[in-house]
Amino acid sequence: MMKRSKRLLGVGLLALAALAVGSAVASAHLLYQNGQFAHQHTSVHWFLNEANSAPDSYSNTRAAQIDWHNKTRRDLSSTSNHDTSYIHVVDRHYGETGWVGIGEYCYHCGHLHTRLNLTYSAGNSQTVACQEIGHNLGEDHHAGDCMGYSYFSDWSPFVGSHSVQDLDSAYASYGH
Amino acid sequence: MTRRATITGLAAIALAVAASPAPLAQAQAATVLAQEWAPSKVSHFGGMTAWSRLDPETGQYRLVIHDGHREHVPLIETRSVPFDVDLGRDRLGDVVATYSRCEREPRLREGAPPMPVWATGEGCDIFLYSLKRGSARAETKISGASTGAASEFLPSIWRSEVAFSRVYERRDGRRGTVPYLYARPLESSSPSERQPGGSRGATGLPGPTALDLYGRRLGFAWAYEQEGGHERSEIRLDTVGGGHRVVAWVEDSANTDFAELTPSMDRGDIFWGTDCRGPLCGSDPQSAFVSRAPLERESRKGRIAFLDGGHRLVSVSRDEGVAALVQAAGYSVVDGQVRCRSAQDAQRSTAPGCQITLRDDLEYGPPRG
Repeated sequence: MMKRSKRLLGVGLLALAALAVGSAVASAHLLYQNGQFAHQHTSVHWFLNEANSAPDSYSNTRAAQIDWHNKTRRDLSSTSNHDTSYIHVVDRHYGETGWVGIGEYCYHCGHLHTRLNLTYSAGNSQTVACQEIGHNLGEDHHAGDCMGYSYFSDWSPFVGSHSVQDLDSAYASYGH
Repeated sequence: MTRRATITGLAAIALAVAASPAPLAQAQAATVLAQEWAPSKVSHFGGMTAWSRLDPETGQYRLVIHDGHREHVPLIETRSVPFDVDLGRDRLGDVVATYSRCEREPRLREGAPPMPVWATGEGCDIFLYSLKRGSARAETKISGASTGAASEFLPSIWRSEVAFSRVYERRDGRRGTVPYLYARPLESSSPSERQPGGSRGATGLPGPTALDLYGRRLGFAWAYEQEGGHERSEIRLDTVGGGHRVVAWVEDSANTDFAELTPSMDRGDIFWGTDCRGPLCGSDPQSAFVSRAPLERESRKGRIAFLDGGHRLVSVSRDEGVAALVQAAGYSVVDGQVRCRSAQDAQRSTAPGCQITLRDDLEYGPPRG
């Protein structure tokens, strides 16, 4: 679990670094308290949804995208431009890899990937998309919302207050 | 690494027995049976566990049997590659070990796990060694399955049946290099019955990497090279005289290597291992897990037991709820031989780094996010 945390922290820090460098609307002077300015977006994480290999993948990924967009100060506006996208979601049959979804930094393409594994598809694709987008934003696993899926008995398909507070606190500390 | 097996002086020594600290009649949560220098296939059945032991001085492997109380090193010829050993029960109900011997040993595969590409052996025949207490303890060639015109390897026995892989090495071209699967009665002149294998891919190799016969079920791991050079490995299940299906598969990608390992069947389920190295492993850039799926249903909703510690998984074998595992922190090549690295031995193998364990505490859950 420690290694995983480090990896997630690494992805999160990469995300934050990318924000610091590339966000056109980031406001470096703003330091918010947790959740104080929820819904007031301060930076855009252009979101490319190419989860279209299964009937429900696109719509469930879209639902997860909107959930993060609406509940946190992260702006996950949609884009169709691969080169400028910040989070790129794809789905396919990856085989019995041990994971239903994975959030990773793609070094050669310079943005974050969310991969949804259709081999294990079991009707929770919105939850999985929600969790992997959360990883892309720097969240680790925790109980109470989609970040707890497959790790804790207490989970839901949606973004919860724990994640909102985590993100607002983390990004605020970086001045975004 | 393809040297002819030789008889070492050790073969002249009486049955080597090393007492273990405590009996293992009931497996502990995780019981370490041995630390070894090199990776090998493990087989666990009927309270017995078999694997191979490299002597780093001679470069030869010996077969090792643990009977739940102590370790035995049978007085049989060594090999210069690990044994493709499989434990099973013969028609009298006694536990036996089966394995191959080759005139020319197979080469080692380049990817992980660094085990032999069994189909590249030449002149291989399959043998049986009885583990019955008080038996003559001599290995016997399984006639009928072993032929002079072809090379047989990866045997697995169940009562009066034996399954194995065969290469018709005297045929021309590719027909003389690709492996086939067969099942046949152990003691009969009946012909061997060919079983469905996996895809040939670009080269026809490696083909089968492990077999397990369980009644009329033949579970096997099969790997092949896809277009683009990436390897795909599968766990497949044949029913002798019936159908066949792919139970699980994984594929290598540009930056991640996956391998499906050593299926075994127990209590109506099929179990197998998965080893991964790369960013698409999920929880760790180096991870391993054991999967379980029902034999009777074509379901992909398998359950997974993740193994801790970021260790590589070489082989797994399960019987009566107990899984035997071969794990290492990694691999090194020392003097042309693959050695297991331990967690404390990050660069070179200066201590035996492969751990043979029995586990009855693996908890199977859903795949992770």
